[in-house]
Amino acid sequence: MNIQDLEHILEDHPFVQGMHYPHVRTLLGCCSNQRYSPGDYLFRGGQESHEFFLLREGTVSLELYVPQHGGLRVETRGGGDLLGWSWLIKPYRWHFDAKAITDVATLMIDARCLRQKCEEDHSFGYDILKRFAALMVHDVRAMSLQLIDMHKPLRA
Amino acid sequence: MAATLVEPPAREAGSDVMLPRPVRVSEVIQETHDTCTLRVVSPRGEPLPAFLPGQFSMLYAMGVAELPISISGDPAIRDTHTYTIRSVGLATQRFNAMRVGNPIGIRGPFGNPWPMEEARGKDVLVVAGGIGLAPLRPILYHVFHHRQDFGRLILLYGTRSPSDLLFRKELKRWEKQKDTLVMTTVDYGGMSWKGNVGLVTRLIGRIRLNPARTIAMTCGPEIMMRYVAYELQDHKGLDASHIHLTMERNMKCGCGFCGHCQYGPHFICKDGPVFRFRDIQPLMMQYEI
Repeated sequence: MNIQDLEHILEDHPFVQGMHYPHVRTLLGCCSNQRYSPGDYLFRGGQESHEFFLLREGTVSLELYVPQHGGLRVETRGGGDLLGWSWLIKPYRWHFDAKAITDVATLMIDARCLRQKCEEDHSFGYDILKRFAALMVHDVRAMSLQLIDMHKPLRA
Repeated sequence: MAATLVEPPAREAGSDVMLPRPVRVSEVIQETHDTCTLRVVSPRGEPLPAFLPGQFSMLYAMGVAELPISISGDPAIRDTHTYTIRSVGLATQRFNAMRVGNPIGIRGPFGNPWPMEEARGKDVLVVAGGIGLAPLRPILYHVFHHRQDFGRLILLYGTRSPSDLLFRKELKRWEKQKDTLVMTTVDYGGMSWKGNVGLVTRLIGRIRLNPARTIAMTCGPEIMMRYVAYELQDHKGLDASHIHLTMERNMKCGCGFCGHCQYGPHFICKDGPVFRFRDIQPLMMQYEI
């Protein structure tokens, strides 16, 4: 895939919606196209986290390893979603497994490259941080709603 | 099938809206372990009162209790009414134990319907949580009967687990309809579940909407509807006047006399159950209401 195609795909992803073009170009410099087949792991819990993923198509399962039980599916992510914040916060370690359930197309962002660019250009870094902060708030809120079991009848 | 919505007739002066009409169960469909769908007919086969999508009836389990239940069937079918009921208490248990031929009393239909006229020419987004798909199903029937009058139809449906999914065969049929997108998700899926896991609000992030030509209608747990509305407003740019939701409170008379279902300045049974989010947004975070 040439760089122009990659740029179009990146610009089309909700994560970069409204991003200044120079920042898109900076992000593009850390970006590659990656595909996964069903059963492939995008990352495993406990491993170092040096990338994150902008999902284009397909479904990825986020699983938590439970000893003597195996993976427990916590959530799924699909096209348009972002996968992974662990690259942002030390010690850069994944806490979940991410497994492709279907064929999955992603844009993989090299986090080492991105962290360096964020340090060099604080305006870019702040843009990225704000976008991740919004997603983290979103994730925490979704998880708390999942925890309260809102479908349970109020009166049994 | 060509079908037109029939406006329910205005009640005649002196007609007794408090008097249940006797009907009998003609079909029972066990949807899930705790939810069934009942079809009811008049004993002599005459048509039942016309209804609009989103309206409800007061269903009387003889000698037990009367409950407000949304009509979940096709508004174009006049000889039956369809109700989908989840067993959560004594009266709903009684309905879930009904067999073909059992008598029920119905009053209504009551309430403010979904804005199907306003939705004409627009994309229709339907967001359902759990049993909330039942009051929304008449919207889908109506759109499929009048496909040329509407834009895209998107159904996002979330339940607690795969075994709680309602209307499974229809979900598969709807998926194959023209200009229709159906996405389901569950809060807790086992490893054998190949679909989405997570809240229904997650699915909103994955769809593309044109906020200027989309109308959203949602039903489910109130907390879910609140977050669906926020998500649509904050992340998809929908105006609060284009988001509609159906509220539930302790309805008794069904027609605004008794005041049991008062919700701020509104009566849910008469001014609702369908409201614009714009009109009730400030009330939704009031602990006192």
